[in-house]
Amino acid sequence: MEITQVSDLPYSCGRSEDELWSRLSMPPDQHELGCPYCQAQRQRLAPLAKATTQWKIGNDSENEADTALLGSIRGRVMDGIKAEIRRGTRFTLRITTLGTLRISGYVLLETLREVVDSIRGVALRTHKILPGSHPESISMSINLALEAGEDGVRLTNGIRDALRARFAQAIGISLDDIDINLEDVFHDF
Amino acid sequence: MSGPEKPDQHELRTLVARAQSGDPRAFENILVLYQHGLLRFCRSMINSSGEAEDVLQEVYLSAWRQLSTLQSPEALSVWLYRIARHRCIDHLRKRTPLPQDFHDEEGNPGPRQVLEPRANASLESSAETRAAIVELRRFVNELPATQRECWVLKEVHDLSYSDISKIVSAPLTTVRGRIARARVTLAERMQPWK
Repeated sequence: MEITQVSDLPYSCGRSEDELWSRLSMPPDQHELGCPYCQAQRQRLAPLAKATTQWKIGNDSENEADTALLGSIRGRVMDGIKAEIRRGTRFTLRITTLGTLRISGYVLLETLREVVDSIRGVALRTHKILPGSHPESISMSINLALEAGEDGVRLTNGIRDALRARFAQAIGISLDDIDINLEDVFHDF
Repeated sequence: MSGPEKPDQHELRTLVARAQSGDPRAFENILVLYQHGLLRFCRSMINSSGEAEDVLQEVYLSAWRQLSTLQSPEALSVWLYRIARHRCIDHLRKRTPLPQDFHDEEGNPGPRQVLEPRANASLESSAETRAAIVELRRFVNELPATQRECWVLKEVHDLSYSDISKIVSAPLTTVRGRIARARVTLAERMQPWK
């Protein structure tokens, strides 16, 4: 059975150790200056507080030393994730007498992201590709954040046009519905 | 703490939404934001750098596969630390008998790390400071594991009691108690460094 209440109870002067601990980096306030109990606790906690602060400062140099290692760990994991993504959902591009030509959903999503990211005044949030109304088409659902002051109607129309053009030219697939939802407004400072 | 700048709310929402939609670059950006903290946390849980690095890879993969379970972008940090904690505990279970103190914290010291002995007394303050940190790390490693993880999350990672309570799945009062007990023990053991 775990004991849950220890020394976080107030000192006899009414202050809690948590309160005192959070104030250790500051000079003593009026209460502490006149309170022998708080002064004694300050002294007791000082070596721990000093070493803890130094530990946190030391994290910065530790971070620098770890940067290359973390880059390599991240790289390995991302390689695995990208391979997993490429093996994901496929969409039908063409049905011919010789067979069906399919395309990776990842390629479609990357194209979608590339198009939307090229348009200023919006930020792409959640997005997905869905099968279209016939086998050789797809639909899209896109959530966007709109930059404050921008014309949402003009931008969404522009996005639809750009998507239809790019998917027709670069991939050769027609787009059915392009549902766009403006879910947020952001300020670009 | 150094590292990339924390994203604002819009940037965070955008990163999470895009990662949840399968954008690997957005996910990688999230990892860049939290990688140093997560590695330190895994090291403090496992006490072995090499094994902590292996666990970190598992944390990343679990995070990717569980992204759809993240309900709120604002909870990203807590969500990642929770995954890290679970992966660390799984790893400790496989490696050796799980330190008893994950179940019964009283009186069971956590896994001990072999650290260099305290540096010879030196009048040079930077050497003394380094030695004090080495000692503190050793004392922290000797805390019961449940106290250690809470203390590290609070004092080294600057997380709030509320976030820690969510990460370790324990009531706020329990978390406060663990940190208070850890502080009492550590303060006492650090007295020679006055």
